[in-house]
Amino acid sequence: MSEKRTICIMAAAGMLGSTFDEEAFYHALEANPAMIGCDSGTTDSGPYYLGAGVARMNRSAAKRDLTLMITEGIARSIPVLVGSAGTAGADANVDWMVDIVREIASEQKLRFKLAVIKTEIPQDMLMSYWEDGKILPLPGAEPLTREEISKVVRCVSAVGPEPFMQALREGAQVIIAGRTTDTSIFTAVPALAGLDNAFAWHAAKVLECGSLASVFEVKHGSMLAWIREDSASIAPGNPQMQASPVSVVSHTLYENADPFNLIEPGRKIHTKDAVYTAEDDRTVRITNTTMTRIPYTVKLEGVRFEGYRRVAICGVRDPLILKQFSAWIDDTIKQTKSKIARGMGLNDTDYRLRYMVFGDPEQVGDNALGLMFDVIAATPEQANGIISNVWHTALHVPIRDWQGAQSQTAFPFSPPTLETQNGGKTFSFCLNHVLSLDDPLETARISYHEL
Amino acid sequence: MKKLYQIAKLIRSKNAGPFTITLDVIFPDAESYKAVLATGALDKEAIAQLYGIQKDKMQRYELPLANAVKFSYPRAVPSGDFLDDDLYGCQQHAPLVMLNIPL
Repeated sequence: MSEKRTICIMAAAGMLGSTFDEEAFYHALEANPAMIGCDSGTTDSGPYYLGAGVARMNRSAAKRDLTLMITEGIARSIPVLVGSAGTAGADANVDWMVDIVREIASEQKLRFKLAVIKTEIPQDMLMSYWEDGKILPLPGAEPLTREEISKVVRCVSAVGPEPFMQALREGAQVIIAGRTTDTSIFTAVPALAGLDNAFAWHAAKVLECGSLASVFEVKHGSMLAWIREDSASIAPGNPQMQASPVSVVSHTLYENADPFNLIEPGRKIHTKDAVYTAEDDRTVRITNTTMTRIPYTVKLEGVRFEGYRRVAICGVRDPLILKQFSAWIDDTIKQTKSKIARGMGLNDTDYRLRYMVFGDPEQVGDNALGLMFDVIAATPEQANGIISNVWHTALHVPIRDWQGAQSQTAFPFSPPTLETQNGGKTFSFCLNHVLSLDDPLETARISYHEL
Repeated sequence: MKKLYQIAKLIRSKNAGPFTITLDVIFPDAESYKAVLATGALDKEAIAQLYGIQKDKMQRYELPLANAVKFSYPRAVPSGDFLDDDLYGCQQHAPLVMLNIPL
């Protein structure tokens, strides 16, 4: 009779840099997991992080979490796997995190083999994949044109567990990867042990959010899963916290369009008939999940550059303006556009201008109605010129109820304009597509470093 | 007549990737879950109409184990695009909160 295998996997937290609960982390380590993993990425904060190649999280918070994971991983000979480094998982985001890892190794006097997995797809490679017909639209998306491909300024492929598995086979003790699927971080080690099964993927889907699937999350932190040939079990690292069948099944809803079909590179996991049972008062066992092999594709995330953003925020309090607000704002926009045409030679198709109103003009009472102007233009100079035109026009557009010169908008600071980070550089998501691969390692560039 | 928020234990919305919004309505127990579903107020047609989405573009899932019903639909504007006004898609559940439930 063959020995029943169990692989214990551990998520340090749902997001690297969340400064996870240290006590739960150490408690989880007592289970002697075969890996410590953490996801570091998300598209939730929008296209900027991929476009600019910067991380959303704070560097010192990321360093704190990585220090705990790496020092304990090396001391206990447990591999440490981080996926989707630095929010977007582009090459620049990976480099940012590798720099932190090098700093930790040097400060903590640690020696280990680091694997760096980059999954960004350069423009020429993307174009060649497109020419080969390997970029396929997801439901609701259209096939891409050559022009659309040429406008992609940065693109990453969300790779599966195979690049992690390759790095582990090469003896990597710490792996920092670019964009990966969240689950792949946690399924690589079970897969190497022969457990590339539905239960590993289902558990990984729960684990990638750290302890979020707990009944009540006292403190965010570590989560554990035990993967077997016929089931998986899940429990929070914090001994004061519990997982219950309802808390785990409820988690399958979270940030997920379809809770029953999890599509991963080369695999589709079906959770509709999964059975969740309480193993004890804090551990949930999952059985009956199934997995189908499908053609191997990786999801692409890509952004286009839109221009430079400038914003102005102000308050309007005069009751006579508020009662005719819509006519006043229309007049303001009209006058602004014509001033921009006269003064800057730009048509309203050369830039984008919108306003947002916070509150109901009829119901603000003694309070101010919030008003925001938002501009994107092709150059920083144009954006500066347009936003100045907008706010200064708004300041002085008169209403007929008053006679004489009027000033209408209350600005909370000087200058009254803001640029979003990095000079207001603005991007948009432009790919809702997958890339068909012949080899799961095709878009992964793996390098090894002895630290 | 009750409002949905008076029965549900959680009504929320969130991005499911940059191109999709997902709505979750979670009930405190099987009894309230079944009672609300039986009214038809959370049928696919009703929610598609409430959100101004074509019926065939509205996905609907029932999760009796979680006493939850879920809807997913394509975003009118992708997350973070110029005309987007809700980056995380996290305030799109508002129309559901005051939804009348004939109970």
